[in-house]
Amino acid sequence: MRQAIRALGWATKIFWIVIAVFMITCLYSAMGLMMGGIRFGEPGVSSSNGTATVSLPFSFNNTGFYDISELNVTTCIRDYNGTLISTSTTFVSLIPHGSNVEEAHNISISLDEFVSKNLTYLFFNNGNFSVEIFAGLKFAYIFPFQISINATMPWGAPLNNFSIGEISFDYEDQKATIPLSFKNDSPFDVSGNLSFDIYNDRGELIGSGSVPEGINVESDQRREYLLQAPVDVLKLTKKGRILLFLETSIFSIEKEVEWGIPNG
Amino acid sequence: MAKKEKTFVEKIMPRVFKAVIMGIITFFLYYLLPTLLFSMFPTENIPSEFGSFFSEYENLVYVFAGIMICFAVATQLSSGTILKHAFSIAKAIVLLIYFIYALNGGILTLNMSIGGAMINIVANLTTFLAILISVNLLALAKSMFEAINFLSQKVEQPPMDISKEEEIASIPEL
Repeated sequence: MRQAIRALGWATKIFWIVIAVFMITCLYSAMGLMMGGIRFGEPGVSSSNGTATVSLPFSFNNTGFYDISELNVTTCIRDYNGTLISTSTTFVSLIPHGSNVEEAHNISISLDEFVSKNLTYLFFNNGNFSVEIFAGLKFAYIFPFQISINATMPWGAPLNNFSIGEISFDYEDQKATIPLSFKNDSPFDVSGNLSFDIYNDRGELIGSGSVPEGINVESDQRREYLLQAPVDVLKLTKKGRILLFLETSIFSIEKEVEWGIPNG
Repeated sequence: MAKKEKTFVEKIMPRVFKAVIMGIITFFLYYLLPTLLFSMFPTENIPSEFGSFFSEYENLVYVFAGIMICFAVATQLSSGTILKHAFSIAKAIVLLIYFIYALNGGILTLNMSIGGAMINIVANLTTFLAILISVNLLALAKSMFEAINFLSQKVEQPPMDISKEEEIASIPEL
């Protein structure tokens, strides 16, 4: 009995010492991470092949005593109607103690998918996207931590306040003039070709044209264009519709707007 | 009668002295040392939203220190009696409950709002809690063995201060 009690006593003491040392070193390591161990860089925005990418660089300087494993960052972006727009995941399998790992979490938003998912309203209306960030990691291989952040992100539409002014016809020159304006509130430039077809109320094509020099609207800039096209005045009716085709390096879209001659 | 009282005082004084010493050591180990460690951490870089969370855990550290000091004093005061083992068993059970309460069953959650963003932090400490419970169960088993050992020794050894005549006189006549 005495031997068993002695053995249990020693085992308990040793375990308590190990736990105390482990707790203190864990706290020290966690404090090191909280106070400057995790750094976030300046987010960068780039676009290619119809995809806008927001890159969030971050670094983990693990100065503690224990490894950090299974670092997982997932971002879900939903539009103001709750439709899922983008899901991005970054996974770092291991951050060994005493090392610095630099990574970037890339959030990709495919503008081409806006068209395929019938989300074209996002090209024309600003709003707030809801951003859900889930981050998880394992500290010292036994402590799983999870952080979830719910935030909002302003969305700047590339063709915000897209509007067609009053259409005017020059019967002598057989020419139509359409004023067009929009503001590029997106973080990237909108440059490409804009062409259009003018239809009468019977659905007959009465004219078509394009912006010869193309359009080039920098971020946060407002532009007004006067679209001009030859028309067949014999087919002209009091109202109709205009079909606009905009092809840029990052998205392609078509928009239909109605026209009418006031007091015509 | 006066001789007996003196013996009691003589008996109790070393225990009280030991209990005071143990109380001071425990106070230093479980209260002063953690307080010193807490104050060493530079908290100015920690977001203020974490403040309430840390102050709550600071309080729990003080409760832990209180439990340890109380049981250290009680165990020393009752040393040489079965109460010592009873207190050891009680201490193991109280610590078991304390750890489960302090670690919220192993899942710690913290909700806060920074700059309009809702942040929810979840720490899964179930493995750590399991280790703590195991060590406490080990301490509980040790205390129980000690209590059994103490009682069996008591049964084996007759009281030493009873004289032979008193012992014979205590045997009932057949």
